Amino acid sequence: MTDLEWLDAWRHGQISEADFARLQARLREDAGLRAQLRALAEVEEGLTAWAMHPTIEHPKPARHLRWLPWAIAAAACLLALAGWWPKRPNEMPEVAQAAVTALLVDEAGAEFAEARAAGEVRFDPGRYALRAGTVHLRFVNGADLVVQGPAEFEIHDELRTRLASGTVRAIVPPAARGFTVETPGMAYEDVGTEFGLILNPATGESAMHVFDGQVNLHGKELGSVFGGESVRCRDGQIEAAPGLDLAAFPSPDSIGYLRWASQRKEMLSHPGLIAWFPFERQGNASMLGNAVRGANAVPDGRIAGARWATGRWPGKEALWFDRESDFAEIEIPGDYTELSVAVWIKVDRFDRQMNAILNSNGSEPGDVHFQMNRFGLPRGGLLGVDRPEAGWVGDPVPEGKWAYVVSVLSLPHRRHVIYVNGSPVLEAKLGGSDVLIRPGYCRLGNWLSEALDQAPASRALNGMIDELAIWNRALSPQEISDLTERGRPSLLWSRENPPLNVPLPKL
Amino acid sequence: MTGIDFDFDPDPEHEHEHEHDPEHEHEKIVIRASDFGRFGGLDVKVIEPPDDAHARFLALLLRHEPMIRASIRAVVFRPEDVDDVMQAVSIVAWRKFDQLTDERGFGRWACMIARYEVLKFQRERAREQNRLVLDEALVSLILEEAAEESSVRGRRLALLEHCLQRLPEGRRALVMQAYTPGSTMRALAERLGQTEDGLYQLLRRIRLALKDCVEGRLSEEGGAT
Repeated sequence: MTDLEWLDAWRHGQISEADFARLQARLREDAGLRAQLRALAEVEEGLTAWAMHPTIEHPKPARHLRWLPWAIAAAACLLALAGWWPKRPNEMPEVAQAAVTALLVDEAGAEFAEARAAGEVRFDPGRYALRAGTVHLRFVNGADLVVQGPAEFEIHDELRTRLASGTVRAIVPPAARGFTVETPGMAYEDVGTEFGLILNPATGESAMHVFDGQVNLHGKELGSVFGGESVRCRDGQIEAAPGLDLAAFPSPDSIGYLRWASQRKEMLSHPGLIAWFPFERQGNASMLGNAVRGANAVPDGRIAGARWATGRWPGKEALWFDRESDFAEIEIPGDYTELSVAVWIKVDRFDRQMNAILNSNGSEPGDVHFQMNRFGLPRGGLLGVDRPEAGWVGDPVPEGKWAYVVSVLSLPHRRHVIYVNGSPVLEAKLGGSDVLIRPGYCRLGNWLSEALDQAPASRALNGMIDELAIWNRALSPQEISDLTERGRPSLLWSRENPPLNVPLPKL
Repeated sequence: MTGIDFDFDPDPEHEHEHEHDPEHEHEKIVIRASDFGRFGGLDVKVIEPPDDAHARFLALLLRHEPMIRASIRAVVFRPEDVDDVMQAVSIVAWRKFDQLTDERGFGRWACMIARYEVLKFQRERAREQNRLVLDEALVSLILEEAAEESSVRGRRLALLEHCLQRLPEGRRALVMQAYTPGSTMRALAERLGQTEDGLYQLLRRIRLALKDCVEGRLSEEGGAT
């Protein structure tokens, strides 16, 4: 750590007595370091003052008190987004930002009449016309509103949205009690917890079903509707409406899966793709199907031990590896000069010195290894080819969070890079050799050593994989970034992972 | 379906009528010279100078307070402790205000008072908090140097605000939570699903980046002096 980092560590009680003694000696002799200490203190004092009376983000002090209870949810959202936004600090807007009203949590095929900037997730008060697709918005008070297009709506504030046409589902936690969707002639006020609403713009008729809790109606007539009941409203008149089609109401859980599933065609036409295992359970549950068909395609794999579970979204299947003997085996026939392997993986625990993603069976020249060490730092390479230079340049794969891990081997460029969520984490230069990439039979989530003399330590994965793709070429960083974007579990998912909290181990 | 009896006001405009906000009422509180005599436990003899001295003192104190607090913060880490030390400094400064010959030197002068008060605080309190504290000679030196820097400190704090604006919104939200009174790292880490260590490191990076940003701006403006 630098002297400055030690100063900060001391200020926050993160230092040992011995290190403190050394720091104190440094402070005595170095006037510059003392000035740095004051500069750091000044930052902290400035932050304390700002946190009490923010001048940015909350321009309306009268709202401040109401905002506080929601700070947690909003800040968690924003924090997650921070890792996802393009990192161009110089281009960050310098104007004061208004308080957040609602954020886009997820979307599937959403098209708005007025084009929204890529990556824009804020929904400020205003009118929106959703031409197609489905969006999931979360208001700062915690209310979720899922809107299915075509729909027109206007956000007034965090408690009131006017619906001009379309189908919505509102899920309202206690903090957002009073969340109201208005239609011409009728306002639906949710006092907890979930309702669906369809508005026909031609007739002005709305139909509403309470999934759970209570919704109060405010029109010419007043009323309350309770869990399991449906009503129809026209010209302010309320009547019971049994037999409403409940499947018509969009649900937040289905959006992510819908988004992923809608990219199937695009994925299959990705250049150089020789295998795409979408992890969909087949009639034969021990078969791992490759959706890529054709002469060069990799054959289907087989599942041994690993069990089917739920992946990134409800409805999305995954394989769960949690026993030492669990694996799935695939064969990647042929010789390659370049190979990219990508997985969506959620590690439960890094139990072992090496935790396998995809490893060739045995240890022959041309075999590929792709795994993570005890710290979640990715490792691997090509057997029979040395690495004159190799090092970790990013944060490890975390436990308990979905991550997109991609290994890119290129013999023409003599490079091996492993990316986590779009950022390089392992970078290695490959030595000169005439060995070609020849993965052959490989195990997913495990390694078969084939060593006769001694049993090597197990490399069994403890976690889940729900997508595997293989290309016969090197993906570019931009392609990897785009693929990360496409498969992200939700818009609130962050690419950023916590840094390693121990000194970097030896490679 | 039964009608229910409660107030629903379909007119959104009415929501904004209650602009009176008790949270901001403290901004209207006027401090009087006689108030300074009431601070608990301290034997302060309140001299009532002519009203214009009172007004001048308040104006100077208000203008310099952020700068003085920042200097204190160099060795007193908890904001609530900085409050206590700052309060003691303002009482002593008021008591000795008639001894200040040149009011343009108020900041430097107040920093020298802060030096004594910080040492006093450290003797009485910091060791109880089981902190690793710097020795007194070093603390003295740091505060004396702070007094010399007092003229730029105000500018630096203004630049900090500018640098905060350049921080990505998510980072800013995190800082806001971490520095909100009463928030603890443990609770925040739990809420964000991070490790405490990871959170410390992230905040450390943000703090150091803000410090660098302030210094960069300052040198762009043509130097610190």
